Amino acid sequence: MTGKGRRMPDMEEKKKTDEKKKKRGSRFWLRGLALWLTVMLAFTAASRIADSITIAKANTEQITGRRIRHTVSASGRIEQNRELAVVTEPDILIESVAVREGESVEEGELLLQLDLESISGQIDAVNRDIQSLELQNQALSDGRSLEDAKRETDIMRAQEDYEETVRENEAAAADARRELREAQANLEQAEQELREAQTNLEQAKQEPETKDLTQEQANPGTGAPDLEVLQAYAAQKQSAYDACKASLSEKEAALEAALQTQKTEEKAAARTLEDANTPQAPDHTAEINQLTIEEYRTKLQKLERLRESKGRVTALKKGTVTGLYVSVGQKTTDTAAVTVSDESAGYRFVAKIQGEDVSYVTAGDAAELKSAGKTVQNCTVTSVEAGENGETYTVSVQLDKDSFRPGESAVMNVIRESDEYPYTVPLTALLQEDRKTFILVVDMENTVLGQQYVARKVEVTVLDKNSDYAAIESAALDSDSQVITDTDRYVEAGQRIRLIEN
Amino acid sequence: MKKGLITLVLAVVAAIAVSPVCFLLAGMLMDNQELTECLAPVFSDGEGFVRWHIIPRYPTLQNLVELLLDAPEFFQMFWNSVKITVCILGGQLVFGMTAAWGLARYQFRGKKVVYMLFIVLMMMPFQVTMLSEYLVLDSLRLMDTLSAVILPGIFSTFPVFIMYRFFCSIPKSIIEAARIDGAGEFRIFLSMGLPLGSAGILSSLVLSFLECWNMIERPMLFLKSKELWPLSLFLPQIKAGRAGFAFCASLMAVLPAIFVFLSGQDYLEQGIASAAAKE
Repeated sequence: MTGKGRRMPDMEEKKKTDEKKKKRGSRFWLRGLALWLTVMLAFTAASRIADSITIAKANTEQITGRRIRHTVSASGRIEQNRELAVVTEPDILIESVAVREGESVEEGELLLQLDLESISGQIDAVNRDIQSLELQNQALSDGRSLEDAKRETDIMRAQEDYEETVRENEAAAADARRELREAQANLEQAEQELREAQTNLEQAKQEPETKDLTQEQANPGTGAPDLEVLQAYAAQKQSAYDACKASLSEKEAALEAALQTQKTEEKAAARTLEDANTPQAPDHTAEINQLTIEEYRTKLQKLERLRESKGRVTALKKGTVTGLYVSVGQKTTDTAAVTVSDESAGYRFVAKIQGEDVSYVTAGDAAELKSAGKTVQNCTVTSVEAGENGETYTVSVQLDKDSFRPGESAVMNVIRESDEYPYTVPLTALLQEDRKTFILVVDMENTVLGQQYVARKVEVTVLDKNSDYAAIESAALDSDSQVITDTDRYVEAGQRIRLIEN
Repeated sequence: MKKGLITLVLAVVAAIAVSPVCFLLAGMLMDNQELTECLAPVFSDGEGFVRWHIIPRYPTLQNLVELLLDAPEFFQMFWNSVKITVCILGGQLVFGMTAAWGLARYQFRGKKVVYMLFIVLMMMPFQVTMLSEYLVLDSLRLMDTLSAVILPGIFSTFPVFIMYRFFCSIPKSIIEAARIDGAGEFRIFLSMGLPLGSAGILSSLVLSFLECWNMIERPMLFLKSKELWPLSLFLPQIKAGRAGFAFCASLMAVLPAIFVFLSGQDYLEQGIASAAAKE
């Protein structure tokens, strides 16, 4: 055996061992690859399951054309077109009430039964009142006559006083004038004499030859007057003049005083006379009493009629009791005790609607009324009136007589259809974002997972809408589009969706 | 000493070569915020340099979970890639192997011309033949189907070339001995040719796998429906800002190739060595 022979088997064994190792390594990685593919398969399933859970489910509807129907509903009540008030005399005790609110009554049917004793008491009271007033009037009449006579006497006396005052004052004034005239005449005389005396004095002073003359003149028969005598004479005339002047002044003052007194006393007498002639304030108490008496008589007639009818208050017309404002044991008042609708005048339905609905209701529209177990169609809206606040409107619908009873509640439906819109969607399909309105339509998109439904956002303009549908307008729509009406979770534009088959 | 130095140099080069995979692993475990911070220069007009953490500061499995549970399209593309690759490899085993055996073991008129054709077609890049392929596939109404990618792959020339070299290396005497023993040609092919040429077959399969798994041009050109796209077209669809998800998807995409390479590494070495020796 050579060395080479022994090395040969070792090398072959080593080679075989290496090959075995390589094969084992290769098998290991192949198993790893198989395991890896198995894991990927499991995660493929898990990913699909997770995707099916997270994908949004959507309800869709075809975009179609339709008319938008606006139904305005409002609850209201039936009211009478005419209501009659049943008024009776006040302060009469009510013995019984024969009707209740909402009850139908025939013409002449008993509404209230009043207490006869109370009526009789009222009648007696009224009679007493009438009597009292009549006596008052009588007393007033008597008193007025005495007053008239007294007044005439006062007038006559005032007149007499006035005339006497005038006479006396005129006489006094005449005397004063006379005395004044006399004083004036005396003054003139004195002035004349003074003037003469002064002239003589002047002459005596100027011409001595005339001195004798002057003396002679001064003392006639004495021969030639003295200058001193002339002076004294002049002084004397001066004094006389001054005295006359003073007297004149006094007379003037006396006249003035007399005139003033005349004026004052005449004025006072005139006022007294005027006061006496002043008419007295008219006293209409008697007339008022008379009117009151007439009222009482009218009331008395009513009470007597009421007593004749044995205290029965009946309905004037056939209708329905719409209001009962009294009760047994109370006394009647001067307001209506009972209100009854006049059936002959018909009824109307009245309801309030909001401002946003008023554009769909106008006078002349057809309306339908529903009440418990009853529906009346082909009614007509008679009026739509704005309320005080401008936010609500009152709608009236005229009714036939036999359709409803007053006081009954009913629901009005007014339906108005618009023109046909080419694109309408359910209201649930409309979405709002940044003050813009849009819808989500379904698009088919070629994705890695195949043909998938994807939500596409389309901005729209709402033309009209009711509680169910909205008419929209958009350039990106066509009649084949399907709009997403509802989803089980939030859906964004571009997101995959799954359609729920209806 | 010399051996250590060589080892060191090789280790450095290997580290540089492996570094992208390390970046991949690290990026896969980073959250979006950390990735945004590191890759900010990439997304902000190229100012500054990218920073990278080998070990993430805030590791997370969020991207992995998102890929494995929240991305069904990834798995759709993954199985498309598997389908394409398996069909092509299967087809190459059927047609390529037999073509290589025929070229290697038999003499017939025009053999050299056919062989030259194979060489010429192997040398041509896809861009040269894509228009003719497009027209042929369109006339056959195979556009937008997986067959548009699979059929050209099945009849690829490169695997034939690899297997031809190995079949040529089988000694004639063994074949003749089998003939003398009464084996038919098909029996000889199955019992002698396949086992003796297995190294070449497996190496061509490994190389073909790597080529098919990473195929981009043919799917991009011939497949319009996204549901037929292979995994190689998934990464370009990932939008910016999902870098972590992209890293995860990249790693998942490269793992099968790593498995296949490691399992067929020896045969690949033999194939390359054989080709080099023949040259």
